[in-house]
Amino acid sequence: MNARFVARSARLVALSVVAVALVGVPLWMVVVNSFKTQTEAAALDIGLPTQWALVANYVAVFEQSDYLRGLGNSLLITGVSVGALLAIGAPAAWAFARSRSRVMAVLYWTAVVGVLLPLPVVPLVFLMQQVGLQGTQLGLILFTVGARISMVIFLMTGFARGLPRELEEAASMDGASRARTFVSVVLPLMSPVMLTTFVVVTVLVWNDFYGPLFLIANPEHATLPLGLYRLSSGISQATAWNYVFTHVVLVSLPLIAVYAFAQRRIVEGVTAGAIRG
Amino acid sequence: MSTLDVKKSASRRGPSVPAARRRRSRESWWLFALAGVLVVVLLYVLPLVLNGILGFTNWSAFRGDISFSGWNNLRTLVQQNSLLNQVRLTLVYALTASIVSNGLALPLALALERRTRANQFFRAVFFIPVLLSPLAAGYVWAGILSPNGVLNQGLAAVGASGDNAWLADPALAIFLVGAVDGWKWCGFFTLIYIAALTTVPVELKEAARTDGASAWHIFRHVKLPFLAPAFTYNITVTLVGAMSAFDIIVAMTGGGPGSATRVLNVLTVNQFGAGYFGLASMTSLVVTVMVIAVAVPLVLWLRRREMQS
Repeated sequence: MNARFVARSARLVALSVVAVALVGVPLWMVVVNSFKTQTEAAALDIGLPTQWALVANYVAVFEQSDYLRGLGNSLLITGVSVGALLAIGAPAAWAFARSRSRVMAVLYWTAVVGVLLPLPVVPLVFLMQQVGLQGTQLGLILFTVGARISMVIFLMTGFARGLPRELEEAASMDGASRARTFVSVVLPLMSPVMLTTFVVVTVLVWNDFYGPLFLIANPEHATLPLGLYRLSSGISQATAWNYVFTHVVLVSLPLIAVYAFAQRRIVEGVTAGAIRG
Repeated sequence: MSTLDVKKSASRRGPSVPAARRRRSRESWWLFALAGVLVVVLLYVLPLVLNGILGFTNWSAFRGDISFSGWNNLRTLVQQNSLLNQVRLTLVYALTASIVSNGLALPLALALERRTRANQFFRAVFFIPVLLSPLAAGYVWAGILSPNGVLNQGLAAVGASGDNAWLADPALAIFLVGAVDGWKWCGFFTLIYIAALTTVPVELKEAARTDGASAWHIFRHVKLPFLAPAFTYNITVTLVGAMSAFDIIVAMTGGGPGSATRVLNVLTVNQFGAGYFGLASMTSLVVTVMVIAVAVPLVLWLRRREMQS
């Protein structure tokens, strides 16, 4: 029993207490109450259910909120938007990092203003109305790409600036075109920041509620967060916490499930990308 | 234009560039940035500019045409919606979120700095709230803070008063919703601080330790200077991000009690939902102006401090 062992144990106990209070209790409360009947969930305590309503709750919410459709919509919006953002952002970031022309510098600063200044959604509604895309999923995708492109370019350009030039110069000495150099030399080197950007942007886009609220009216096109809002604001929270929490679990589950498998890579990726970003 | 670009960059590199390399025709840089620039111009700059115009119109659900209405929207905001109060609420929310987020993240980062197995586990745990949708996070905390929720139950269990209507208190509600915003993001900013801490040279820490410096001394004089860029990033992003907050408030209080948590973005949604589109544009224009007014001096000030330390 040396002092170092005691100090180390005390540290772990303190961290555990904080983790339980900040993460454990909130998550447990949600999960356990999604297993309870309406009456029992109204008490909002963290004890185990005396009467299990797991199947009943999940079946009810699955049907009421049209969960599978919402999941499909969220996958579509997130998949297309994030794919487009990475495909558009990566070559632009490399160009901004390497070009020394003043025009490109001005364009870069224009592009990254959006890191701080959020894109207002009301004029997007106006624009989408003019081109007949208001209420469509394409409209939402366009808004999402516009709202996140700055962050993508900012993160990736910061990383690309730190890449060694020697390999690129060697490739161009060997007669490779810039496009070729980009695909075979630069892209592989950029994979760490691609992963970081992918994680950060996926989390933001998947969870976005503000954009869909304005741009999607048809329930058939609703993403998961929009479905959660429709369900939760439609029923009285005080009497139906079991349904609200069941829906919270179902909406959060896809990202949490991916996280459970790729947790180490995600945490390491965000940390690694942040050093250069 | 492309040839011009190449020539310019070639001439700037001067005569040291081998002639063979200069002659080889290469796609110029702007081609690679073209798609990105188009997206930025059409889907970011254009809407931003358009918002500045629409805010001064009578665009609404109730009339077919749109015409300029001067400062009418701003006047309505000031007179009917007590704009100054909304601006104050938005700032209080953003400050609370930023303080809670960084106040949790910095100690956590210092505690989890070393890359041990246990620390990696805790880093992963504290990152979980980042994955929740803000809307879901709002419902979770609405449950915890409800009159018969877990917080009151816990307080009652330790003998304190357990019948507080937390979110129904107009003076308290805005701080609580802001704190939940800070809670949701603290795991992310913890990772940023950890990333900054790994840039502190090991020799520097060792030297300080062999000199017998206290933990506080090492933090203040060895680690803090290396944390400066992370401070700039985290404080700016939390503040600015929280100024356009919406989801958490909608889930927890819906803007109430009364209008005690109706920050500008909640107001925008209310106005838009009621069909006053021009007015909603003006409200988000106020957010834009606020963000510029806060972010620009903040970044400049923090950058200057970075240079000094």
